[in-house]
Amino acid sequence: MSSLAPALLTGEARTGREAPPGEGATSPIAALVERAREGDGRAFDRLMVETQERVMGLAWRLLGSREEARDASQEVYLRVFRHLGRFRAGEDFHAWLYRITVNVCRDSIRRRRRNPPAPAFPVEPSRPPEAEEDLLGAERWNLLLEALASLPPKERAALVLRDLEGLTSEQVARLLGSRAATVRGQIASARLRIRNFCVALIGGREALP
Amino acid sequence: MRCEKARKLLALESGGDLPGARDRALASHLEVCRRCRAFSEELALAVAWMRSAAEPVISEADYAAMRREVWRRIESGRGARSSSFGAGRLVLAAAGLLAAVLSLFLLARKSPQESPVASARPAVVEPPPAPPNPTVSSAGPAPSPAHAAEPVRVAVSRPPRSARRRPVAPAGDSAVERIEFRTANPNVRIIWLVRKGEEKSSSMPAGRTEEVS
Repeated sequence: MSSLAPALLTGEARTGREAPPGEGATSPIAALVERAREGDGRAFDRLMVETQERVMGLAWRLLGSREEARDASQEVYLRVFRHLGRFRAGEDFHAWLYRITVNVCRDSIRRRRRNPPAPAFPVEPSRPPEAEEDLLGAERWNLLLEALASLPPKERAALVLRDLEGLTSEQVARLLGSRAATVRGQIASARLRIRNFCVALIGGREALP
Repeated sequence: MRCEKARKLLALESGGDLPGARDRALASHLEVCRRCRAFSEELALAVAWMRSAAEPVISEADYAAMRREVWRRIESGRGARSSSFGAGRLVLAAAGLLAAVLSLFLLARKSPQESPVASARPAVVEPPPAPPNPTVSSAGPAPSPAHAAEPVRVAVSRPPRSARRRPVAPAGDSAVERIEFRTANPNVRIIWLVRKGEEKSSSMPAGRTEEVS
């Protein structure tokens, strides 16, 4: 992964998860990809297990709904399965997976615009929280989704990829097919909106226009 | 620097997206603007909150359900592909069969004279039962006596399509041999026009029966 920093794509800085080794031909992911390309179903399943957290998490942040994120993740892996033959050995699999995920989510958002669903919020947790920590985490997550839902789709995508996924502005621009300066403007605007959301949530302070 | 501009720059700075030169200009504004300093703190807190809350709670059951569904769709896609492939083969076979039947039908319609049914069409003139007395009027090959001795059954038949298309040279043309048979009936003559240089087999059987009045 030369263009996309491993820490960014794996969320190491954010979650403390161990970053995978480089995406060379000898990395476990590369080996799985190679075996999956040769038709090894177990390798493909393992590939899903290794990357599902990242894919579904990103989809959830971009789409704001667990159900939509699960549907999008399915579509992502179906596309991966169909186009694995086109994936060139030595290419960065995570970057490729990221592109597919973002594209699938954008398609989903477009479809949603054409056929608006029932109100997406409040977001239901994926499992009933048991411990107090779980409750707090679920509450924070729901608030975050609410905050993200208040953003225009382009700003939301730019912010999620930059701040939550940790890509650089240039990488985000490349993924979204936009200019870096445009993306920086979208990110700045999105951060201001998030700040306003937080201020309004806490209350008492003035919200900026 | 105005506060509005400073706050946009602060939004960039909070994520580390501000180039150094602008950073210095912003720093000098923050030194003198208390409200923008407060704004900057709120922004930093909001970004930190957003990042801390960025982990969705997804259970293993959710992941497993997702993978199961992926495999189900892959398998159903395979099934659909194979069944559609089978259907395609059936359609191809049916189309081939139809094409074969159509071509046979057209072939049969194109050459009705060559078919046994069509050959029975010509009007038959029954000559008297006397044996023919052929007289060859040209130096061309004469028909064999056995052939000449056959019972005369003169038919006015249409030549095949290929022969009809060719222009028939008039009698006396040097390129055409004229062979004339006389039958027992003086009113009936058989005239053969054979193009010179062509094999007999490929020459037109331009048999023509004339009734001489």
